[in-house]
Amino acid sequence: MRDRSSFRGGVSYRRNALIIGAMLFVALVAFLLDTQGVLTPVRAYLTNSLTPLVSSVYGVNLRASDLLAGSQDLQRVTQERDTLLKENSDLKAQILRIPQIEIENMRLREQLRIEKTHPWQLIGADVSVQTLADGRRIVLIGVGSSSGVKVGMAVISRYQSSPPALVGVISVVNVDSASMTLIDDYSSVISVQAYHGTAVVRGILQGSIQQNGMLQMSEIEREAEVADGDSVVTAGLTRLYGPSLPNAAIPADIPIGIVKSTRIDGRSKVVDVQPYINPELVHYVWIIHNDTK
Amino acid sequence: MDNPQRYKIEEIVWHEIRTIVLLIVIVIGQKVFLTDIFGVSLNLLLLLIVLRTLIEPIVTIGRWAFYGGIIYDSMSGSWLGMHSIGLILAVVTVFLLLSRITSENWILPIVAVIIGSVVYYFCNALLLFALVGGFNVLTYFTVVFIPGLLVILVPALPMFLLLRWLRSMRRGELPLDVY
Repeated sequence: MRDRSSFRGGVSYRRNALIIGAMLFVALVAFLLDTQGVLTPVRAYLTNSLTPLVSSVYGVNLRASDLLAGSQDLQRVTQERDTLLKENSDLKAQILRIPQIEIENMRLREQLRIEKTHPWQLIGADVSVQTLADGRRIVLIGVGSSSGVKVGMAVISRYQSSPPALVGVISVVNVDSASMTLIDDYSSVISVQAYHGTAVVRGILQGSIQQNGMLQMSEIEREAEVADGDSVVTAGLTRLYGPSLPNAAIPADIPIGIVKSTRIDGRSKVVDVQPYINPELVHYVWIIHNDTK
Repeated sequence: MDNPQRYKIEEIVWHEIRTIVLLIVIVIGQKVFLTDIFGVSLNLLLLLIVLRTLIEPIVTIGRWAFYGGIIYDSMSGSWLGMHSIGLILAVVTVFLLLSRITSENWILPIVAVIIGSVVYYFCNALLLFALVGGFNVLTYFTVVFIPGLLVILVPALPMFLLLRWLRSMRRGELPLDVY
């Protein structure tokens, strides 16, 4: 078989020059004839023959470009979808936040109302956990020493139509949390006083888990005038007689409950007190951190 | 028994058809795919013809120039032979000036493309100036020649190395570079 390289390069220089010159001459003649319109039909035939091929390739190229553009559009739409999903998530979070804000607003208004009618400055807190183990009635609240909470501070709350009433006393303080001993815990001991008309009867209020939330007021004189329905409030005696004690932070006249029944126990009288608020139902409390009275 | 002369004609015809088809593909690719690079069209046909002049026999490249120019004219609507003249003159000029320099030199393709482009665009400008009324040489120089030359210079060396590598692979040669 003939070697193709010899077909390409095996000719002499003069022959090469002749071939190149011939091609140049043909091109020049074609050019001159075409400028005169002689070769116009030939050029038209060649153009018509090649144009469909060019159009086909061009169409493929356009479709490829459209496909690429479509892919870019898909990426853009995907990005927009992700952005909208994030905005949707944020809006849902805001919608869920609305009831929380309403509750918070309601609590703040309630706190403001209490502070207007009482000489107390309050710190609001959520009740995190109610610890009822071992018969204790201790709950964990969501504020601590970082908010100015100290041991012995009184904790009040409201439930439905009840007045703001004592529910417990701060017993342990952490940085951002605190434990509150409820007034019906058996270790709770608070000096209280009951108003019977113009008479004031003082005593000690203790919790007792066995009495189904009922508190027991003791250390009352046998002849003291106490009747059912009398209101019982804190006496603030610790502040008077033991200001260094933790419970000295409990101010006087914090409502606790009403006298439910009385009985004679030896040389003294014992009164059962029904608290205004069942501490187990409380989910939000206020800590009295300052008494301006 | 085979007739050598008949066999040669068949080979020539087949080779010419293959060359024309390949050139049609190149010109279509140039017109369709290479029209938007930096807003200037890369003249792939001119680039390939000038670079191949450095490594292939001139008759082969002369045929490329002739066929390529005719195909280009057919597709661009210009007068038949106009681009063939420019391409053939570019091939001849590059061949005459650079044929004695070894094709292993890396500077060679840059110089060849510059020379070939000058001749090609000068020829086109001359023909247009002679035939088209209101032809502005300065506008042609700044809008067509300079951008066309700059764009064609960018792929000149990589394309030359690719062509040279293809030739060496085909012939089983080992390329030797001269810096």
